[in-house]
Amino acid sequence: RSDTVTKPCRNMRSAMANADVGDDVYGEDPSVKRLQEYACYITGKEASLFVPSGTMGNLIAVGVHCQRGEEVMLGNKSHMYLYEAGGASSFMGVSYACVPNLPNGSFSLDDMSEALRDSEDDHFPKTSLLAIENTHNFCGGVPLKRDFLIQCRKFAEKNDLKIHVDGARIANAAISQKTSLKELLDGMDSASICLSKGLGAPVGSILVGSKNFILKGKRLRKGLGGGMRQAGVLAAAGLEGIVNNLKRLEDDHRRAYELKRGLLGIRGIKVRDLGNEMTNMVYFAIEENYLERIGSGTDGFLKVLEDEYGVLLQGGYGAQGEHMRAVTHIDIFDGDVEKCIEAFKDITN
Amino acid sequence: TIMLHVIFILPLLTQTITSFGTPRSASKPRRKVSNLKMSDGGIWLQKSSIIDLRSDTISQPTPQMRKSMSRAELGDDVFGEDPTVNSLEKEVAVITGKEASLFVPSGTMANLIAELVWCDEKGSEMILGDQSHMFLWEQSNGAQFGGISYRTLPNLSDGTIDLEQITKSIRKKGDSFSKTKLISIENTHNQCGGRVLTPEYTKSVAEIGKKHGVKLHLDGARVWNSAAYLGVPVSELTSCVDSLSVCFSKGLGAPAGSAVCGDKEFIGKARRIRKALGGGMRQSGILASGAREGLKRMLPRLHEDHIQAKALAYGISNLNMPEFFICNAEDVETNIVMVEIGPGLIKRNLNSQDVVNRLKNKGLLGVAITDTTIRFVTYYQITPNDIIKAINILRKFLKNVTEEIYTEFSSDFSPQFESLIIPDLADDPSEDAT
Repeated sequence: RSDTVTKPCRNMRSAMANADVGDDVYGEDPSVKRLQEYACYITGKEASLFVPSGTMGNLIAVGVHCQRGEEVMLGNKSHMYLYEAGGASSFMGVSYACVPNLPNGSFSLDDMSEALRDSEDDHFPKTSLLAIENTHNFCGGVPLKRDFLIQCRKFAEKNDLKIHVDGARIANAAISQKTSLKELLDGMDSASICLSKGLGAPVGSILVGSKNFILKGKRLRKGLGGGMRQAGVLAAAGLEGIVNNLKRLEDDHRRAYELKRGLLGIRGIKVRDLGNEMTNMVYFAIEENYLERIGSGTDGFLKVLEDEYGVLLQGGYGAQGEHMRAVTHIDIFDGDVEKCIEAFKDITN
Repeated sequence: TIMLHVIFILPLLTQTITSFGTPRSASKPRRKVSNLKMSDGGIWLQKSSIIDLRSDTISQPTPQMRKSMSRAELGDDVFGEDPTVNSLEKEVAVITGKEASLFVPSGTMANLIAELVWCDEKGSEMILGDQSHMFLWEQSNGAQFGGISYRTLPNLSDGTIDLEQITKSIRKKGDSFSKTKLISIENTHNQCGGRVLTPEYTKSVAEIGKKHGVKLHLDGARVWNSAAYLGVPVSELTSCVDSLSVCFSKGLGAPAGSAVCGDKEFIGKARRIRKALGGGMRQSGILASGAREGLKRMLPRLHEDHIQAKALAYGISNLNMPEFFICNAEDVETNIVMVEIGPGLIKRNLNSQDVVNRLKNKGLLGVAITDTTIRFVTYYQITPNDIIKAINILRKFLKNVTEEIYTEFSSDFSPQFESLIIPDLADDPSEDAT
């Protein structure tokens, strides 16, 4: 269903149980400090902050970069816009300026220029933040192209915008494009990186940015209620994840690719094929004539998959909610992918 | 006792040794296994001899907690599938006499969620004490993120707010007025010195709320201590309120986390707001298992912390130097001790932060909670020996101060300073000190 279901492995559990902890609100938790230092090193940013979730990381970024009454420019299919309960508006008083997402997760320069607003005219809020998502979840788990990143940097520089990267799965992007987190985040003002997804930690994200950004971000984190005490228990697992589980994301991508190939060969299933640009996700749907025959629709299909074959998938994507998503992660093995393909073959047969 | 030592120390030793096995493990380098300290709350490694009385949030997870955390059954709590979190939420609901509860990363978030759920209309107003944690120490987050206005009323020294004042402050209907949606009380009351609100007082406030259609939220970060002091079940203090927040990371010793409790409809809304704020964690059963251990093993022993706090308070007041330290030991009810800086120190331009800094150099940590008050908090890792040492440190501090005064005025020595000279005390506690 998602790479968030990953459970911590034995090493992580051991690291958590033995973690050296202190009161992080007083800045005295050595495990949290160690994770934050490592995050700075691996992303090339000045400072970082451990937060309970990616949602809070993104919310804090909006809160720091934007004043009340300003605007954040982001994709109309982005997680920040669709799946974070409109927090930027309800808590930070910032409005969302949506730009159409292209199939590869980017947006066109024309659309960006059109959506850009400045407060010289009293009618307009000022666009102060550009938020991009890498990898882009709803566009298929695609890593953003280098050209688009360059386009964004130039655009932001020209128009005095800050850039925040919703990098929940940026680790997947880095592995897929055979580059480093540092390179992908070069020139970006801040980023929120999830530890609880492909990297396998139980909880948490890491927010990175300049010293000034993180100082304000820490204050906002406390105000929102994200200031935990002996958080090193979680940070220790996060550090294990980001140090040890980066390389193995290749395996997740390989398994997702095999799953896609297997599904492509099944009649009745139409797969969103992104070629080599995919990471750990496969989006697909059942063809209409097959759906009619199944009768109970996509939900029924998912239920049969779960009850009879033990395969859990997330549905409800796409315009009418008929698309489904499969995500590979640390708890999915090669045999599982085969079982899944067999299950699909069975049902469609 | 030997069996206990064998059961607890051996696994701790083996855990420490085996964790070094993996070369790529990010765990810390080898450390000496010594300085084991024990209290009725558990066994832990004492890393420094500093007596840290800054807060009960300093409390570290016990070895049992660490074990249970490492073994906890986990799932994705955003999908509602973490069995440990689900168990904890049920247990907390039962203990507080509420329909349901929700696990959150901090007490600040628990209180914020309650404010946002109850004050859901534009122009909402909330009545609370002017010394309350929610008003003083939570960054005015209800106003910041929810547009809620705070109507503060004076807290009396026992932590209560005058009932008539509450009634008078509830807004009447009219387009000029904001809408009073919520009253909030705090039990135990931190800033007033860990004071306990009685079940009778809580019920009286709840009645006012019901009469005027205003909800009542209890900031129960330390409600466990209140129940321990009164010797009543927690639900007696909480069943009449509409919602409450509780903390696991304080006296209960868990690493992190709090819960907000209320009826099912409230918790349904609270869950949404928790996600929107960014408090939706995944395999948070790790933290929840620590919290469960805290409820099981640490909740029954809280009165011990109160005994240590009382001992500290009496120790300070028995120093009998009201010109320097003022401590009303009779007012100490739970695990918080407030010490006021006396006129003698103020005259020497020493405020509470200066005193705290000097005490830090001597190995005692407290918090300058106001310009003229220092707060000390006890918890399971503060032993009776620590209290004795703390009092000795305070005594030495006073000795130094009086020596300074003496040397300043030694040219014209007057008899009134005789009484200020304290005999030199050895580090080991004598009969006198005890």
